[in-house]
Amino acid sequence: MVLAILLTIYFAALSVLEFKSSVLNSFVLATITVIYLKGAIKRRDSYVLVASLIASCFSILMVLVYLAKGELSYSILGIATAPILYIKLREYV
Amino acid sequence: MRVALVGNPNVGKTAILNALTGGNFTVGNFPGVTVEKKEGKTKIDGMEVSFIDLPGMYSLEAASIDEKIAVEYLSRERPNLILNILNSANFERNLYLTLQLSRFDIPIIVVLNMMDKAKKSGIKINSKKLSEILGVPVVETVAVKNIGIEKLKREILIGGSLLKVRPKNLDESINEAGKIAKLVVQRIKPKKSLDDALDEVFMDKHLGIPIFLSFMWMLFTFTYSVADPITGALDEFFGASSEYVANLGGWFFSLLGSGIIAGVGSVLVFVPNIAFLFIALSILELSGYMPRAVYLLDNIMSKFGLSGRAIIPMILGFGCNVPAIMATRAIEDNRIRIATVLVNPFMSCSARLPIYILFAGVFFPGSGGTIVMLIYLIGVLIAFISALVFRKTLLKGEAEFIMELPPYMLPNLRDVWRSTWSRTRHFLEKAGTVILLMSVVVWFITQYPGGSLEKSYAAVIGKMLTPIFSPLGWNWELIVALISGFVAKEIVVATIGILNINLAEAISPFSALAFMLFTLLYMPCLATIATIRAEVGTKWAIFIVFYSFFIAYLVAFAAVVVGSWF
Repeated sequence: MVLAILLTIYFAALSVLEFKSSVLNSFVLATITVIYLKGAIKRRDSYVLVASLIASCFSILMVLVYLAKGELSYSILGIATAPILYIKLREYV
Repeated sequence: MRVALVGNPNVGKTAILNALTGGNFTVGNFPGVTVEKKEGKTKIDGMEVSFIDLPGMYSLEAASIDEKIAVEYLSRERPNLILNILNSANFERNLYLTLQLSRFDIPIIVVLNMMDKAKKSGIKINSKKLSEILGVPVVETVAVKNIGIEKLKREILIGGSLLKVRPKNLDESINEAGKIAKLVVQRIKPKKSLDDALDEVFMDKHLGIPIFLSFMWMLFTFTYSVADPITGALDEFFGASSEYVANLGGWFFSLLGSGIIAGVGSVLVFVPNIAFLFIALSILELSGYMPRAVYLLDNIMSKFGLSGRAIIPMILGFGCNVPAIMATRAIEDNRIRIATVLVNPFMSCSARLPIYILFAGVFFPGSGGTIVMLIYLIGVLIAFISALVFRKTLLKGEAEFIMELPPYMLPNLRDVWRSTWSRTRHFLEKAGTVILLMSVVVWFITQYPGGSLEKSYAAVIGKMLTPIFSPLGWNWELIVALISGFVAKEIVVATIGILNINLAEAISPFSALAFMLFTLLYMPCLATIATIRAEVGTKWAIFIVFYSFFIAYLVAFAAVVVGSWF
């Protein structure tokens, strides 16, 4: 569960940094933070899986937004969770 | 040869139909996608076979309109063969219906679909033994992957057999299904279930709603921001084409440039936004997430007197209100059904999206996505409040919640494409017909009889109605645009294009917001009114026209008043 705690801190920081440029992007990052946090508290892998899934999807979307409009967002850094998502998914599929 | 596809809701009947016929029917991953029968034809070894996809039903004791359609078809039309599709992961519950089908004395083939899902859930079905017990052929399939379809085609040519097991009533069917399931189903310890893991978080009582709102924000960002460069390029193309053609001189080129290209073009500009919205919606629907959102929102829904089944038509309403209203046939309680039909036009259909994007782009360039999402949420809120009012006054009664949660699936690209294309095509067809025709009409009423806009019929109509709308701060040109939107909402944008209105100079940002809210809520388009009339009667159709106009005016006025405080 160390991983879940580290990711909680990482996404909390991203959420704070994003707040000035987009409140709703920051809201999504805060939601991801809380999912990781709950995963850490409950010691459940499923929370890490879903938070990583949302974070990866959101970062891909933000890459598309960057390509379309040239707007950079801290949310792109959520792509760091893609390997975690891959590892967690392999446990199920 | 006529073959009927019969089964519980959401067992993959339409997917089987597509696999057998190579058809392009839209599939979903929630119950109630098919609410009227669909027909697909194909040739199997030279024999022409018509497949009739019937709406899903749990038993022959039909309660809702779509279920009645299925039962009546089997009794009256008597197809040559029934393909009874079962969800293998929910075998016993699906088998009740199979046993009840014996009453029609029509040959049957039992299709065990979604075998992959059953195996993942630790369910192993002995199909050979099942075939012996029932006395009919049993074929295992995974329709979305085309597995088992060739074998199914061979069995169709043979023609199936009559069921050996013939229970007399529903209770006997339930008992018999239980006994058969014990004989043919073997349960093995399943692998760690991904569905359970996803459900634990997506349906978490604290996190479920924030996750849902996050997905909604992603959907609107995808629709608004990612499609932006394509929309911009189309806008420049149609703008330049319209100007070039109109400047060639003469009434014909004026009609072509300022009328048709400006009108139809100003609507086609938003096709990328609409296609992107449908891609995102299709992914959410096909993945199986949408029904979870429904489940999460049920607490809220029941407080407004609606049942869980009402949410599917409401979600479909984001695409087009016409099929959404038809989807209410799956609602058993007639009063809940009427309430769901009446509030559906408040769910913002894709035809209204171009209006929001146009106004948000001009007045709120930095926060367009947020404004569009806000408009959609206001539509949902008004729909819920209206439902509550209707259920407490005109349509009193209790609401029940019965909802089956489908398995999660990785949406396959073919289905996402089918779903997106069938909805986008509808929009394009309207652009080529109704919008084209209305563009000519709008061009005519803006050019004649005086030869200038100020002396045109449009000016007369718009100025006549100005006193009604003047508290909202709109000029007569915008009023003409609103009136034209009564035919189809896209025509509002087409009319703005033809009238060449400079929005930034014409109204204030709060009047623009009021205009967006008004177009969200004011009377449904002609096609929707006709569908409401066909589904629940003339009285309700007339009622919703006046009710929605009143609500739209009230909300738009409130937006202008609040705006004046700043």
